[in-house]
Amino acid sequence: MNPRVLTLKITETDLKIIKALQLDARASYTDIAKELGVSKNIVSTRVRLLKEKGIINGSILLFNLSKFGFGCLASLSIKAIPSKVDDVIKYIRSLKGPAISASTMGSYNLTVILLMQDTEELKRVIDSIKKDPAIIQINTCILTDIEKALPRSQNIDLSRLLEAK
Amino acid sequence: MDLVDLKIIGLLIQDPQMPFSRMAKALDIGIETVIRRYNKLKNEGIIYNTTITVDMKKCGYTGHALFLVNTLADAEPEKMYSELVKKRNVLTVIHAIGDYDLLIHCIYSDLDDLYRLQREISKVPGIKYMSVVVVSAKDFNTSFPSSEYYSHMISKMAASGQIKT
Repeated sequence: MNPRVLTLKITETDLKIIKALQLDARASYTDIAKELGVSKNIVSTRVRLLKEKGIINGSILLFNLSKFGFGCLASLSIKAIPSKVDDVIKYIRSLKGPAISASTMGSYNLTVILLMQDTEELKRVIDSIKKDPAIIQINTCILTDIEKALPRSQNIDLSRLLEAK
Repeated sequence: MDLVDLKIIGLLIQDPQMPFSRMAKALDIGIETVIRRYNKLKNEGIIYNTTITVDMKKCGYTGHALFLVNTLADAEPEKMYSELVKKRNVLTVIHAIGDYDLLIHCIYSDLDDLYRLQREISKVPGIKYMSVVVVSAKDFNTSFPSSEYYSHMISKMAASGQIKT
């Protein structure tokens, strides 16, 4: 990596480029350049810089879960014996079903997001999670309208990048 | 959706920013066909769009939090939803059935920022009660949208033979 790149400052233009790519990672640099009133060269140089700095670290395709057989998204809020939380997470991850499992602070000490084909599969996974004796209580919530639950990366306030050196 | 569509989706999963020309070459079909099919998949709501992932830590954020919201009996969920998804640093809002009615996923830079966010969210009319769980940083992928979540989904889809990668 070019060491000079890391000392370059992030500008307002960079933030606008990030926003444009958050809305559509396939947006053409020509279109972005036109919209921002800069040259296409600037856009591609700045994108390269943002990638080299690790600010942009990948891209993903967002697709309709229900069209691919995922009919059921659920969130489990779990109370577990505090000293055993790490073991419980390890156990839940070994089940392969959950999409996300994380330890939390607050009303619950574990949160698990399950992405399932149907409620039967959900029941099966919850039943196996329940087998862990360190779990005190599980509150299950079925998440609905998952088609609308798209990640809104464009809501991220990026202004802190401007302050960074 | 036919096999060609699935192959297009497969390529987009591997590299969401792959140019149409490269996709056409890989599939040995015309570029116009790829573009037409891509637009069709989008119009039919099978795929939504592509987005870049950013490193949250580099953008100045230290953690994720989930607000679990109970709404009032006379609340207007759709109105609440559209108001919430516009808020700064609110990344996902999902309707839920169970112990709570709305799940709000946010990011924050420090505890003051989390407190500010909570105050801001609680001003949305229709909220009866909300609790918060703070996700421990070690359990969350710092890139958003979470590549962990999507790769999990994709491996499940590939396992059930729904996509060809």
